[in-house]
Amino acid sequence: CDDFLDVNTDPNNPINAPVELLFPAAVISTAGTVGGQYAILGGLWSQYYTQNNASNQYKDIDSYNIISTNTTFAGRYTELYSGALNDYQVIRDRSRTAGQWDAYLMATVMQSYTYQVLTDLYGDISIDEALQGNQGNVNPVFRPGPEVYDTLIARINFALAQEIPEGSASSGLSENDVVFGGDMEQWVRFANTLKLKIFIRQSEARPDVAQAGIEEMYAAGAEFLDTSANVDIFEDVTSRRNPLYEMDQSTALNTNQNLKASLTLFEFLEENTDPRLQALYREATSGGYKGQQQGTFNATTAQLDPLSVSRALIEPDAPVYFISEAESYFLQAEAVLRGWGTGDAAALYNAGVDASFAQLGVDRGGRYPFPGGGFEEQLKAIITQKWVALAGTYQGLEAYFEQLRTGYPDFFDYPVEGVTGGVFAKRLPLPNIVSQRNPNAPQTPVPITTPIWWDIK
Amino acid sequence: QEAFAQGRTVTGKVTDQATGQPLPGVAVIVQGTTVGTSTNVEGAYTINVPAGGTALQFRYIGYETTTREIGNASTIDVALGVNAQQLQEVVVTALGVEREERSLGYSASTVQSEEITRARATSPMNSLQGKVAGVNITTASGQPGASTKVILRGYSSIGGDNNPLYVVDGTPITNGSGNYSAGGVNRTQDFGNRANDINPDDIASITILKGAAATSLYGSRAANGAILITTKRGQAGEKPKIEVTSSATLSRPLFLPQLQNRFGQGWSARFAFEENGSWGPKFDGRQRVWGNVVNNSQQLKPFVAQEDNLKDFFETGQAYLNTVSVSGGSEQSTYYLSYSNATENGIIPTNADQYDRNTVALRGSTKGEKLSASSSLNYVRKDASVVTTGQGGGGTTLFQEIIQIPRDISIVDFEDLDNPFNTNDNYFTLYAQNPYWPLKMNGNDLEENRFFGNITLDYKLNSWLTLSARGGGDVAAGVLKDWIRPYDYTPGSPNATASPSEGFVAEINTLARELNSDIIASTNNDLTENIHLNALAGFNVNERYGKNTTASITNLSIPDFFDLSNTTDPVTATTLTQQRRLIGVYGQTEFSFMDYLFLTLSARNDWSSTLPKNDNSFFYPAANVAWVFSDMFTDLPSALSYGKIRASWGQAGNDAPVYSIDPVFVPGGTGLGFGTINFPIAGINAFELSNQIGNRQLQPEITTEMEVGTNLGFFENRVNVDLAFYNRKTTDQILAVPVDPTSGFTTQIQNFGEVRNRGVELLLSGSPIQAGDFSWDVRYNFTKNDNEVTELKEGLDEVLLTSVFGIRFVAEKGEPLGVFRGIDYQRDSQGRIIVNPATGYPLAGEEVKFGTAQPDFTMGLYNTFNYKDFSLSFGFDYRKGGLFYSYTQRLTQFVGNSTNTLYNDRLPFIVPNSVVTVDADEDGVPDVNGEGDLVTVPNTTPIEADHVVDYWNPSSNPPIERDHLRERDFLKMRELTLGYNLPTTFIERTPFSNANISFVARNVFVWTPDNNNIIDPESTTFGNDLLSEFGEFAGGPTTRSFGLSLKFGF
Repeated sequence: CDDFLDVNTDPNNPINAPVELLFPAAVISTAGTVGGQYAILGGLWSQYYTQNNASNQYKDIDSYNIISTNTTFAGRYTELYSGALNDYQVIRDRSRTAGQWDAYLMATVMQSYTYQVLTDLYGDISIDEALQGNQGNVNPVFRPGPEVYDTLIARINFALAQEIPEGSASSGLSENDVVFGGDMEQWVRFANTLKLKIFIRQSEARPDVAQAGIEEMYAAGAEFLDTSANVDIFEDVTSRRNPLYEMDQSTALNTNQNLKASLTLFEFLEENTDPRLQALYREATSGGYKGQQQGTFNATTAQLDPLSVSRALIEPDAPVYFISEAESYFLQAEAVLRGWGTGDAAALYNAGVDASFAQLGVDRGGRYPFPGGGFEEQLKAIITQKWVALAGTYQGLEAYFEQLRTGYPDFFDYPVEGVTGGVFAKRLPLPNIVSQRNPNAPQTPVPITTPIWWDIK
Repeated sequence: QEAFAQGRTVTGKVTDQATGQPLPGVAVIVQGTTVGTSTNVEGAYTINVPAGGTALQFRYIGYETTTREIGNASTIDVALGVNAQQLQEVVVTALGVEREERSLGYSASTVQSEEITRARATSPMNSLQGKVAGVNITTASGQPGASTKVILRGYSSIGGDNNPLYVVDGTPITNGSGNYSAGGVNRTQDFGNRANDINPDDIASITILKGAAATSLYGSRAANGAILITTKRGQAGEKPKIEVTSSATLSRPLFLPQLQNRFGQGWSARFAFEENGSWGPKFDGRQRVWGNVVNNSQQLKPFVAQEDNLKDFFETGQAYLNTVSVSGGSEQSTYYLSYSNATENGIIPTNADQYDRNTVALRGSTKGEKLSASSSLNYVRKDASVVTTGQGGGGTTLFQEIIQIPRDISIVDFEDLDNPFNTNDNYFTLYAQNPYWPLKMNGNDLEENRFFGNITLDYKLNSWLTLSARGGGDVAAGVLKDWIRPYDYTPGSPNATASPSEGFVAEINTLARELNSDIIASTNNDLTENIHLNALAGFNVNERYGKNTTASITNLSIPDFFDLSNTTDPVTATTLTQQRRLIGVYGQTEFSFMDYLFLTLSARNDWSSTLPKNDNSFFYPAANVAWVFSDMFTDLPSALSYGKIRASWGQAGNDAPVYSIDPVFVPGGTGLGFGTINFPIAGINAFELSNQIGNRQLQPEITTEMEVGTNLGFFENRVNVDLAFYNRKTTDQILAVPVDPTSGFTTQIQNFGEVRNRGVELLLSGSPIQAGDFSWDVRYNFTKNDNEVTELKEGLDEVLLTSVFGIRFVAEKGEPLGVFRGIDYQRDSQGRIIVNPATGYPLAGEEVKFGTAQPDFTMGLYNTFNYKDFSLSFGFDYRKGGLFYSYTQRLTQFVGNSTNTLYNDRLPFIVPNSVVTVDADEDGVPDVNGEGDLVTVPNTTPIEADHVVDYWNPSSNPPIERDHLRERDFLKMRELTLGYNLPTTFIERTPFSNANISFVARNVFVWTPDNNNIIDPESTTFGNDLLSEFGEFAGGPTTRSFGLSLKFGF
């Protein structure tokens, strides 16, 4: 009788799966979000793109009309916690027990990267009590942003302090490492560059923490990324494409006309006769290249002919970038500029600009020399060029965080249909599915116009 | 009359009037007393008649109750005649046990074959619409073979199954749809539920057991009631009989959207030849060029409304239902063999809506001294194609395309896809697709072979104990092929900026299998002269197994070759296997005292494979009492001819879903919001932790129900009343409760909460006129079900059922199951609408409750008139109250086709009863003073004519979503039939033994309130369970049908 009734083991899904099969699933969840919906969010807020006036899809983003009931971003929050962070956690737990430190470092770096995106968007998040739903804790407590940052640094440091194999990761893991193909030296560089990014973000709010952390890294001879940390396995096949292309440009939507060239970046490139313009935007249907003023999506087609405006140029097989090569150089340039790191700020700046042009396959010419003058002018050049470079890697969200931190670029236009009374968006409100279900989560939505803790400039 | 003062003995024999066979077990009662006996095996009886006894009453299941004056007789022999009316009083109850209606302490409604086949519905349950109190039967759409939803006494389960258990000849059958129906907002195909596979002409009767006390013997499968279908069999001793039933019916749309005919193509109050809407100028009759320029030419037509463009699109559907059966029997054996064919082509042009069903049924029985055997075997072959509903890019669904065509454009003129103006490149708008594209280029084909039936052996161990064994099964194997043709746009063509389609081909193989066996010991004997015992004990084993294998491709290499080989991409394949087993033991005891007081006790214990291993046993008790007080008391008013009071209590369960206990890993991949990324990519595969937390303490949902009721007959049963009150509580609801995703999981399977259904069911039937050749029979039923979610988990106010475009459909504590919620206007303290002072548009406010999907009450009325050989019958079905969501309303409103968009003749208007906040900040965001009150003054900013379109668009006026909910009330004329039996005098000269010709019509008309002029409120694209109450998403019209039916036997 007991045997007869013993048929309740799910035959459709495995009871267990090895860490090397969990890792790519988690990375793709991170990539699908930061390279998908967050690339759209960042692309619009960084004013690379604006919403087309003959379609509807991203009006709420372009007008900062995002409230806690917004299901799109609730879906992304859910995907990151239950589709990415949880699987990194399973890998971290198992590999730590097994002493499999290559997998531990990879999962820790990717998880920390993902956590930073979340805390930069939402401020307070849950980290130490999160991801314990199957251990009986479905109501984790939240931590203030600075504590999250400190936890991330501590976790990465712990992972780096273990015996990480030289050269390649273990065989199954290497084959399934969709970021570096098991090259552990690159993973260490990624870990260091991520730390640098976390410290730099605190340059205004906790300059002493940032300085101490960065100085310690340079003192220890930390090496940073000289290639991009990205996922470059996409192909032009349904459900296997670059996520931004798949969701915005393929047939998932009725129209692929939503993302138009924002006049903000368009004019910057045009004024500098920057050939990256043609690599970032498509020729308009009716010919030529043209931008559209940020947030003018309610213009009638008589006022603005949608066929005359350039669309975003997105390739189906483009990689999803976590930290691009150019970004790494710009981060280092800023660390040196601030006197926290050692090296040549101008050379690092130039390496960043070169990397951006090279990545888009166009010639820099003599454009954008590193300016003389003081700290502020040079910082402005670094961050403004980082903003352009991140457009080429669909990393608008990172560019936007940096704009909030530094105020550069300093020529953003408030979107015409903005609903926040002239105040730029500063964050995303926590999805109400979190506050409603979890009494330990913040219960009062923080408005979209309230700055994140590191945004004090 | 002194002579009768003392008691004396009367003897006699009771026989069947037709066959002359003796009838054992006939109740013989001295009228007006409690004295009674029953006949023995030879049909003989002996009764002591007390002093004052003047007449004997003879009662037997299925026969006319007969009364004989005793007079001076000492021997009274009686031949009882079968009475059709009386036949209804034999009721098939749980496990196929036949019982007298009078002995039941719960409500059981039986519908006979004639009612089931009269109006020639292809699916048997559809014939019961509006005929039975407490039963909600809805057809999802007008497409051939569409799903039928049957809900008994309201929805009890928030997250589980609310469909009743279907049992054919004692063996449960599967009622799933084989996962062919996706249901919901996306491209959906409804191939119907499997209860619809049964040929109505094969059915002798359907008994509906509504309450848990009636179904408790089915244990953890019976929380939603049971539909017991008894099929036709041969009669012992009957000569071979051939019956032929043949009908042909035509169908037309019953209810099409009533659209405005005042404004034509355009947007923002201007003509625009490429727009998919009617926001253009008023019709003026002038000749205008319209659509795209193709080869330097453009089409020309007068700017006038095409009032019938929707109606003209639909064709006349055809349905044929033919059955031929042969039946008969010897003294020991019977046989019944039938073949039927149902062929339908629905109202959609082309053969995209096609249903073809062939059934063969074979039943036999043989009876020996001790051993008897019977079988019921059925084969069904179903071939169907359906038109997809819901939304889908690139012309993959039909109805969303046709309802957004501007009012001045003819739809039928798009039929020729080779016409250069009708191609994808040049179709007049790039925002929609030529509706003939999905019809002609895409499609689907289902082929399903199904075999179900059972074999029963009865062995009479001795005079009081019988052993029965019944083994049955239901195996359905289907293949569905589904295809979408790819297309690309010619660069530079007018629609070149629209998204191309890569095409799609899928093949879904489905196997659904249910095996069920029972072993039952039963006894039936007199304990004393007055106390009779009926008892049974049984053992049940049940297994249900399902396997779906889906293989699909996209990116077709050859556009019109729909095969899995036709791609450069890898084939995507998935399998889904589900298996569950159940073991049950059960018993039932019925005591009857003097044939007027009955007590039935039953109990079942189930062990289920889907529950935790150490805690998988559940017990379901039930009890009921029936008291025929009119047979106990002698001094009741003569007008009351029959009176019974009944009461029952019982429990039943709704078993847990499979594989809900242990956590698993699932194939990796990520949803992007739109589109997905799936593994394998670049030769790498992946798995990830499932997002559902398992539950090692899982229990079934438990339904506990109490019911009291009465059956009353007046004026020699010319007027009958059947009244029931019930109170049903369903606890331990099984739900995947959403948890904070921060926990790493999105849901957790839990038991909690309670849903209560309590209500009243009334059936009034009578024969007001019976005069000579003329008679009038009428039946009226009324149902009021009060449904409430009485408890949810602590801290959980609501469970989201579904949400579509800002309308959320939730289970909310203290409310009926299925509440519509959405964003209201921002309002001041007086309830006036606050608008943006710059634009005049309303501002979005708080979420509020808009109403519920549940009705206030429903009722049905049926009339039958007979005059000589003519018979006229018709029935109405009425539903009052409730709302439903209509995407047809939303889309027609968005494109300016619906009539409500004519508000104020589309001239500039100030939102009625609107105000502005005067202390608002410069930025237009209303400010709040220290007390939290808004200071508001009447609004003077109108919405300009060219922005009226945006007022009706939820993206600029979110609270307008409320307009997409419509009132669900309707009155339908369900049936109208006029039949003529050929007179015997004529029949005698033919080989026929009987012949009937009828005009039949179903869904003759529908009335809806003014608020709903858009779609039949019964139509749904959300399956046939609780979600279907949400409403419809670009579903098609329902249909009316009318035709001729012929029936003859020889």
